Amino acid sequence: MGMGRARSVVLVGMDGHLIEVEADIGQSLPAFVLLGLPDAALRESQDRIRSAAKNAGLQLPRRRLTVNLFPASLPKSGSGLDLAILASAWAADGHLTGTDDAVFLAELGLDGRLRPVKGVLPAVAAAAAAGVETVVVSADNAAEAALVPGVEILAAEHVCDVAAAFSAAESAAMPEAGSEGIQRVTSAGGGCEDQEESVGHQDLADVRGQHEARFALEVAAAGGHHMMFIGAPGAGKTMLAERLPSVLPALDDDAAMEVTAIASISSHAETVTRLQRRAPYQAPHHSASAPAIVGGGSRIPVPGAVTRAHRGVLFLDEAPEFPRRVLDSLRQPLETGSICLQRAAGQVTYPAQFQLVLAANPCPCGMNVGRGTACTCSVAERRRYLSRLSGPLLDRMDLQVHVERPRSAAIALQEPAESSAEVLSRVVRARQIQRERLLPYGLRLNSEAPMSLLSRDLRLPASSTRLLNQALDRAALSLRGYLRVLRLAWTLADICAKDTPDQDDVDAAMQLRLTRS
Amino acid sequence: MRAKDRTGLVGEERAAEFLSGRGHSVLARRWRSRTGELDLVTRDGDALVAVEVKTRRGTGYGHPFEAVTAQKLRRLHKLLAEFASGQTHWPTKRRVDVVSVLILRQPGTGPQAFIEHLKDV
Repeated sequence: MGMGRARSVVLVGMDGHLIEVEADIGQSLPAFVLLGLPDAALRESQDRIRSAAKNAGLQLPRRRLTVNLFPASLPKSGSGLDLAILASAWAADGHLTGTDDAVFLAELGLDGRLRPVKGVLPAVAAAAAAGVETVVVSADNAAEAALVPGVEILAAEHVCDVAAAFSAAESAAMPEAGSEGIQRVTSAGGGCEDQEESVGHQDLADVRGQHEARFALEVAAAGGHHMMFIGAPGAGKTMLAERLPSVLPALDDDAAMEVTAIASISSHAETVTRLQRRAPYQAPHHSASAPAIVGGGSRIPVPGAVTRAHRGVLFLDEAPEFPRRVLDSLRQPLETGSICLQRAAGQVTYPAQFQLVLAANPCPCGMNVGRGTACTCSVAERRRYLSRLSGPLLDRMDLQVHVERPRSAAIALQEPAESSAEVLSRVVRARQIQRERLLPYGLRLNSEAPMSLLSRDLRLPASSTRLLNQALDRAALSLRGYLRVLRLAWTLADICAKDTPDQDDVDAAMQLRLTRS
Repeated sequence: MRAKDRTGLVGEERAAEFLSGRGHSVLARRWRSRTGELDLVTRDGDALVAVEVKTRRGTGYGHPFEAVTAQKLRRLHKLLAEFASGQTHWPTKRRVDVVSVLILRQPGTGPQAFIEHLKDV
């Protein structure tokens, strides 16, 4: 009697911090004091906890209850601490025992039901990393929590089940456990896979003609290169970009864990039940603000589209229509693969390794293709339109592809176009070659290879890079552009299963990069 | 007399018995001034104690202790000071206690009082 302890996890960005909840019952008039920088949602938990305890049939003592959240200096937010506070209060009253080392992660309903919370996957992963052996979650979060190996997950529908599982022997006033009781969920250990791999994906077979664009798409998928489609309205830019995820290979274990953790903390309502093996695809509308794209919010920033597209594709349709500030905010994550956001409440770093795909019309009316005779725009308008995409951003685009409007011949063809599955098999093979070559350097994709590697261990013979060197000398290319052409050349060689890129590959890579009208 | 007042009187009676058993000597009951009323004034060792007695016939409207608000506590302290100033000799130690009396009907045995005592609130 007097003191009780329980544990929980608070997330700051994607980092989980283990919280120790201490409850003390004092001989004084009834009051509920919550210490340790709780935010408004957490302060409201007091009333939820009292009601939940009463309706569960195990009332909190009518005394002064002081709850301290350690470390006191870390600002805490959210409702996931509800269950931990109630468990520690019951332990202080002598009803529960053994709560000291368990982590409790659930919100309480007034009737004592356990409700799911966001971010269970990163929270349980943090608890496991800190050496916690038992985690109690609501039944709705059980599948998500069980994705983390090496932790015993206890899933409960109602606080009564939790009370029964931790009940102290000497406590007489224990309520009846629910019909279900507490469920021990064993870790699936990666056995719980994403079954419907291709459901919801459009297939490349739908695309008629467009051989050049299809090839560029395959190259981009194989090497993880950024790309840009330029073409008239209705030519199929969006159609092609939407089909890029269908030719991306399934995510490996680490990537799937990261992607699933991001989905878990994002504000989407759907609950996570299994590892997401499919590469994510984000296509924000061009009215999006910079915080919506890179992440933002008042206290601790929430992830934006670049983070939700981590290990996947970020597609910006009608790219010139995006505010320039938004486009240029992409430059840092493009370069570093992560986004660091600062607010008064703290600093968070979210992962943001995405493949950027831009689509643009050549001019406001969109008809400036071929000879451009149908275009009604003035020269100034045309020039202004594409110049909305800043030079530094375009410099990061490895492939710039012109998408022509297909002719009737493309539709007349009887044989169906190549399907995503066929392209995917070539992409998987090209990635396998890359992995074998780059593994000693800790890399996976050609698009990640640094200059130091490409100019030393993977240096190409001068005969292959003659034209490229000339372009650099004539200042037609930046040094970054030079590096990106080399990366692209390696990908082209990998697709053809060549050992090293030859002069044709380097020249083709230059062509794919520099097809500016 | 209304039922709620009778409940209160019964509660004060029980509280006085309870405190006498714990070594308090009751100095006054239902002592009134213009500010309000003290249910019991007792002497516990060398301390002068104002006791607020809260009696309920059930917890449907909350526990008796929950009915003691911060405002009421302030008034109790003020009343205790007034009481003390009316005496010629008084102890230097003063405190306010709260006693809750829950009168619950038990099946078979008739009503029973459950008493809880909080010191120096």
